[in-house]
Amino acid sequence: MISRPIVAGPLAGLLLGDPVAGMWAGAILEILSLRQLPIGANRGWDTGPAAVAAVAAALRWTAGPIALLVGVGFGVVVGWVGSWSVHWMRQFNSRLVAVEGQPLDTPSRLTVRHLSAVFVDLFRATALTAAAVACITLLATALADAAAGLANVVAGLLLLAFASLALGVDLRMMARGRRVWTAAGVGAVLGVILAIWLR
Amino acid sequence: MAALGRTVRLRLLLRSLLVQGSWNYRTMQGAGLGFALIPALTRLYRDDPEALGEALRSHSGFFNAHPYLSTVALAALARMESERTGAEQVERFKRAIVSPLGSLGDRLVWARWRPLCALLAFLIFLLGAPWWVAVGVFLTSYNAIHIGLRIWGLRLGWREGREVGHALMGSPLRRLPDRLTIPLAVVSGAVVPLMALTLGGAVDVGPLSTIGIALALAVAGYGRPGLANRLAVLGLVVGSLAFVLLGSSLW
Amino acid sequence: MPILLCRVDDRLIHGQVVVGWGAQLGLDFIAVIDDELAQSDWEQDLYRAGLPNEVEARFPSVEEAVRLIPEWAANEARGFVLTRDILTMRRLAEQGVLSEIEVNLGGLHSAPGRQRVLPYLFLSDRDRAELERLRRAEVRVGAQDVPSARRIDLDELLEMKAS
Repeated sequence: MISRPIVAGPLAGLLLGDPVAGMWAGAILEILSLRQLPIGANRGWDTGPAAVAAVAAALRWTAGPIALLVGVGFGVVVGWVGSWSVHWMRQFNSRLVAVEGQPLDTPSRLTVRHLSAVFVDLFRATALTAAAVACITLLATALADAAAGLANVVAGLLLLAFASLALGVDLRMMARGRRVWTAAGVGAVLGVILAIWLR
Repeated sequence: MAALGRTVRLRLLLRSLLVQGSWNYRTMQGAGLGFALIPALTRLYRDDPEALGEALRSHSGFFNAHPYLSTVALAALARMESERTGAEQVERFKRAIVSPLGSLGDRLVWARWRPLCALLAFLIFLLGAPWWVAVGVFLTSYNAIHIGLRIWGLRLGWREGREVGHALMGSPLRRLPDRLTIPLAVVSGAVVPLMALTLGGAVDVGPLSTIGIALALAVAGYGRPGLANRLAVLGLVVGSLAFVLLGSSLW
Repeated sequence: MPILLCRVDDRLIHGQVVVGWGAQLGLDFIAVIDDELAQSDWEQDLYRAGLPNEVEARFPSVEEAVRLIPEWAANEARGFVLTRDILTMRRLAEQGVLSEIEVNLGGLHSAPGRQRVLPYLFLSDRDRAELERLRRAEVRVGAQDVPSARRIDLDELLEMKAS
């Protein structure tokens, strides 16, 4: 559960110097990946490395919505690459623990093979995260900062638009019906009142 | 049956944390199940290495359940093995138990509890709580159910053995996802305007119209999930690329 | 179209079916067609336990299903039909009860003699022969594990390389 963006984001932010930016990047990535339910052989983005990469990328650019947009976009790409690395690992695991007629018939043989797979996964996630962070460091030196001002406003609106769309999708994927509609509407009204009050 | 004491059951519980460790397309959690059952099997077949080998082989075949509820199967299998239930019955039990453990856990945890905890944490953060409070709320609320399910499952499986299906039918677990639907929808709805307040805060058009746009888009996402999903993900990637590549020259 | 999904899946009722498809399409009952299961109460209990309260589980034998499917198709209640293997689905198809209904290949897992075609689909030579017979029975067949995944048509599926 440390690998959920809503946790991994702020923690990565803490390490890199800005937990609040980390929270934002993590939360938006969380909303984008909520609907990927890990059921059966289905696999979603590899959210842990994605969140760390998103925060690392966000903190390389000027603070504000542009940085967040670029960070989350980079995180999505890393999460997608990560989902393929999980796919390859699962195929590799078949060879490790699921070959027909394989002798998994003593506690030590079974333990060694099973735990090897656990370590392969740890190594995979670490390597992916390191590669993603290295990648963003290289890119950041090659590319100039995007200008602030109007660009930041556009970036903020884009981010808001995509996150709102995604939240609607999330709810639909999990529940539907008039009850759900009404409850979401009540929530939205509450949210608007709170927003006005917070201003 | 007395052969498996508290310590062995505790070890099953701890090992269940690694049940997904060698997930693969052939046997899925199979080796994980075998691995988690080792403390029970070595105890039961202490004097019979051949039977132990046979049991390990059969228990590392195909298996897949929600990881948090895998303890139900682990404990029920330990119980059945300790009563020397026949291999054919054990196989049929494993084949069937995969079904409720998968769908109960998926409905409760992946489709309700995890999104609810995550969105609640974000909501608290949006309302002004420090980031570490939000993270703390997520971790404690989420893990209360996570660890609770593992312990509950271990007890239930051990008590009921093969008949655990009947107990699962009557368990509050079946109704819980339904009860969480409304809270999940309310929290989802509340997140949108508050998120808009901050993200659109710098915009001159005024926060209320930004909130309106955000809510309209959320409704659109709910109405056309397939299209909206692709649009959001692609849009983010393309949008961020555009900013990185063209950022300074465009503005 | 009250039979919303007609699926071959060796795990029968499980998360992908209930959460993945059920929540999207909305359903009232799931019918599992399996001769062995029709006889076994404790196994039926286990499968029932995975369902939400408002969804009813039915466990007819193949013979009963041939009679029941047309009834369900004419009814208001929305349901899924599940079988454990392609053979059972083919038996239904050859009785003519699956016309107008698409068969969904949702999950057949690793077993001796089966080769991996998709992450969730392992096929043996016998399975392929059964698929050919399904096609001859003029039933539309596609592979798709969850609603968000791409649907792969039978023709494309049979040309895919197994590994």
